[in-house]
Amino acid sequence: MSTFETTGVLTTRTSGWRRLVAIQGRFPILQIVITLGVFLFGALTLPGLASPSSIVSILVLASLVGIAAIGQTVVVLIGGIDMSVAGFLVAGALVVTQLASVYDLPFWAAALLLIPCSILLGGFVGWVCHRFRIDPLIITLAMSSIALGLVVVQSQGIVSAGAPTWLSNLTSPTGTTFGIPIPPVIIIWAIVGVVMWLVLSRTVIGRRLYATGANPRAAGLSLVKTRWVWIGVFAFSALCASLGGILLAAFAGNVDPTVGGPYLFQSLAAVVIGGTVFGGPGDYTRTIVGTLMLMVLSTVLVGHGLTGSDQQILFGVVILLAVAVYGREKKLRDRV
Amino acid sequence: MTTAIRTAPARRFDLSVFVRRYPFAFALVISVVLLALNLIVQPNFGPVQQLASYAPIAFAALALMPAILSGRGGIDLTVSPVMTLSGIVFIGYLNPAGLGTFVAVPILLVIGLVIGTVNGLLIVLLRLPPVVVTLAMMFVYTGINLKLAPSPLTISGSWVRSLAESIWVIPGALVGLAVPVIAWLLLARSAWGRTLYAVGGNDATAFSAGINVAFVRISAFALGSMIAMLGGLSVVALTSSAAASTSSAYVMLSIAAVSLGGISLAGGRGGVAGALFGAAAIFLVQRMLTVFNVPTIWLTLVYGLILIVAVILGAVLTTRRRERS
Amino acid sequence: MRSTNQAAPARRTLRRGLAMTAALPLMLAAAGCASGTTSGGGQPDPTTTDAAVTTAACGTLPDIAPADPEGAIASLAAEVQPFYNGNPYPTLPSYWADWAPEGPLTVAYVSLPMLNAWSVSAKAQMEESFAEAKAAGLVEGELLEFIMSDPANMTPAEQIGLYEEAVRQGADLIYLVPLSGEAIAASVDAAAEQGIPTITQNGYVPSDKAVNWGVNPYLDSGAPAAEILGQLDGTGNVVIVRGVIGLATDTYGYAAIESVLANCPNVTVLGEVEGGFNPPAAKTALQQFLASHPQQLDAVLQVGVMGQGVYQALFESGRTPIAKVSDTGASAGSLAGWAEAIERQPDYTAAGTGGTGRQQVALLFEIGMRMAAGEGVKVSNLTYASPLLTNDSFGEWMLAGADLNSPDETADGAPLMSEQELDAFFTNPGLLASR
Repeated sequence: MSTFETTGVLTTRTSGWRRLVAIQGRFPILQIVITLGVFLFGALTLPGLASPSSIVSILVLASLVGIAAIGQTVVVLIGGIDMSVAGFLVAGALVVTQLASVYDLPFWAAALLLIPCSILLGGFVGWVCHRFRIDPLIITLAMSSIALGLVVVQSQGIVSAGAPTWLSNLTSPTGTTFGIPIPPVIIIWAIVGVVMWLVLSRTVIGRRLYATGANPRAAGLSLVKTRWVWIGVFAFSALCASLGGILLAAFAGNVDPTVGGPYLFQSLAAVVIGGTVFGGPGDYTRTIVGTLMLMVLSTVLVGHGLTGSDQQILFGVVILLAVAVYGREKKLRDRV
Repeated sequence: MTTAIRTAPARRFDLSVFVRRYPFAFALVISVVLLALNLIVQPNFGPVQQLASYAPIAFAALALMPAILSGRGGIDLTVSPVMTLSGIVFIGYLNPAGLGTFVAVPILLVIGLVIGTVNGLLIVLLRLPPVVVTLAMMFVYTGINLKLAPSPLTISGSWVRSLAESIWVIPGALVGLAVPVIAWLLLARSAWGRTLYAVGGNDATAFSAGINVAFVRISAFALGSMIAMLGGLSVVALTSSAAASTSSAYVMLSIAAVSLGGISLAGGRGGVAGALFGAAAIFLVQRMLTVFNVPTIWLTLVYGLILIVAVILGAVLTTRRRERS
Repeated sequence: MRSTNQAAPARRTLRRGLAMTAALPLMLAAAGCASGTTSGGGQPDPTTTDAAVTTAACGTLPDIAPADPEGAIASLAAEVQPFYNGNPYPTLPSYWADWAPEGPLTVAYVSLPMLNAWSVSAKAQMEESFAEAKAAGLVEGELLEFIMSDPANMTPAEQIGLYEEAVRQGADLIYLVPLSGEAIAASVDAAAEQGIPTITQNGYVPSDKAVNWGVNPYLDSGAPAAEILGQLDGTGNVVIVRGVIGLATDTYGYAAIESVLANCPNVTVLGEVEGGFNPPAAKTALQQFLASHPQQLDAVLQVGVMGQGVYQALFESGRTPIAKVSDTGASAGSLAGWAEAIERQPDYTAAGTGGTGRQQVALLFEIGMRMAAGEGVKVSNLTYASPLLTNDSFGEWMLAGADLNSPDETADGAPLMSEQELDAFFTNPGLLASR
């Protein structure tokens, strides 16, 4: 007896396995399973991993990477890579600490100053990449130096002043949000995640973004203003990274130019491991899952004493496996 | 009766056509200008030493070039850790085993061949994006470097040092660079080179024309890694040491160098002159910033501005007219 | 045909699933393998009668003969000999023992990017010392500065280029903060052939033609660790925070901590993390470690300059009692953390070492000027024992107004070395002072 499933596949019986496969295409079940599996292994072998305080600790570290990966997600969705995440993170952190102290700005003024500046710089990157058909890799690389350099010149030095203590409470694992024993940075990340999901999957902007990423020519012919999509995406990415820099300043206390470096590759890894492909499909929920998987894995490995060299090698292998599962391109003979 | 003979109107010099034919022209101009400025401010130039310092960046750019030329977003982020790996293997393993003479070169080249082929296979056979694959392999090789050389390794009295000094009257760095450059010039004019440019331009079309696209792309990555292994020797020549901490030193520099040199990241356009002059431009910009005593706080900004202006100018001048509409 | 096409997605996803799941046991197996080796498990309980002897020795820094292949250290006065305890860098008789140049010198400063408070204050002190020396007629012209530009992309090759540029611009004396001492050794030798001495700081150049000046890493990392283990009475759980595994300073600092722990069989090393000599990175690594190790932590032994990140991690984890921190290379932030720990827990004790960029560079410059005055430096490697900070003495190093987030260096506390001790390194001391 044959039954048609919703996908139209002709089968002899409804298969639970097929349903799972269909869901995996839409939702990163495998990554979640692996994350929970690794966490379980860690909880069994490392006493204390499953305690509330350590879970909160892991989530705080994850939210920093997750917020750095917001911009990276949308840039990857339109088919590019954003190498300026590190530069904008550090620039944002420097603006609210060093710049604020040099010019005697209140914290809120400095934070508000970040918004138009980062949008302008990011928008410029998007416009240049689209107008002159240049790969975003090199432009974002240059913009990273420019953003950081601008702040450094304005603040007359690279060494930043320390972040105010109340700011550090945002990222402290013992911090509270209006009485709830969850640090504010995790709540911020959760809210951002929900907003991103809404925008990407439910709004016109999101659809235009996916269209531009999937097939720029077809999008252009469908009257999607791809140039504005590119400008918007890179402006948004720069904005998110700059505001994320505030949280980085909160976490690190004081910032030097090298602090942003790890977040660049970690954000890219989180996006890739989550299953977002260059040019789409994908979304920010996948990045969230990818970030959690990365952080749990990293914490368990650190807990077991894996040194830097082993961590690097495993990091690379995990990325390869993730992209091998999700990111494969079409066969050449199918593109002829 | 005279028949009017129509002659073609005299062509004025068309800049964009010139730049399209010689995409490295922009980098060449920058290099010449910076070099002239350098000589004016500091006549005591020291060409042998300068070339020895320039060689690693040039090798990095040359190693990156085949991967980028092969198109489909081709890029090789493993160039930097492979250069470090080469130095570590040479100083830490080949030299102590008595293989530290010229016989080390073929051994290193074979290692480079294997590394590049692995990259190529992952990218081509599994159809994975090159940037992510080489990013992941960059982590792997960085970890391997840390494992092989937990502390910096040093060497003394090796023939490799002559690559940073003079061999007769020729600067050693030029001799070292001549190897990949001559090899490339021969390959570029061969059938393989022509197919590489064809694949880089449009691999679907090349496939339809019967070119073995897979082999061309894989061999491009293999060639790049082999050049990177040679580049590791130039670093050893200069520093007489190999340290795992330099694993990521040339990643961004090499990308900037090839972009300045007019080698489009989309593939299919550019050549060895672009890599060499792009690397020279980057090297001289770094030198300039010191020779002119640019205040330290301005250095980062100036570097980024130069890079972005150069890339945009290069793209503007090489964009075909009909693509602009 | 149609069914195979539509079955293909399912098969592909099946393969995907298998691939991902295959990775999992691989990684966990690797983790399992690693846990046995580097986690340092537990040290066996002492059951032998040696226990009394060894625990009595716990808390002291073992004496290790320094590398002195040609007896150069032995030729120095007795008061500076202890500075070389455990010093891993081979010390040779100096090439510059008879150097007596004429006239005012042109001086160059080749350094790393201005990345932290140390490098900024070091550069400022260098310029200040230069101005004083110029007023005294010892040096002339402007201070030639060659500072690397891009912290993210700096390479030893770039610094070699800058160093050689300094030589070409006519420097008679070069102060160098090396990125890689081994890499620049050949250039230093070449400059020496031209009669140009190089005095290095915080980076050892393996050549008798360089004059290396810097803290003794064995004493710097080992002394506070020994002090803290003594405060623990030889029992407890500790975590080791390393710097950048692969850098010489980390290798030697870690060796010092290990040699101190070798005398403490009742101390359990819970594990090690890598802090990268960067306080925020150390904080992240330590937080991750604390998340998976709920046992009481009694001390954190760090290799250097990461004390601030360690204190931040400890406070944010809310653990009590607060672990003792060996604050090698203290900063204003780490001392503020120490003070806060005492506030939270009045019986808190710790240890550390001090020494600011200003102090180090002032002495560095003086060494060069003494050499220029013809005092004749005896050895290729000058070192000192950094002042030990304890609960009683760290107050004089505290920077007013600094808190746990402060990026600054400490205030200048006790001098690193007295003039008499510095005299011991020279054949004819006193020539500079008489100018």
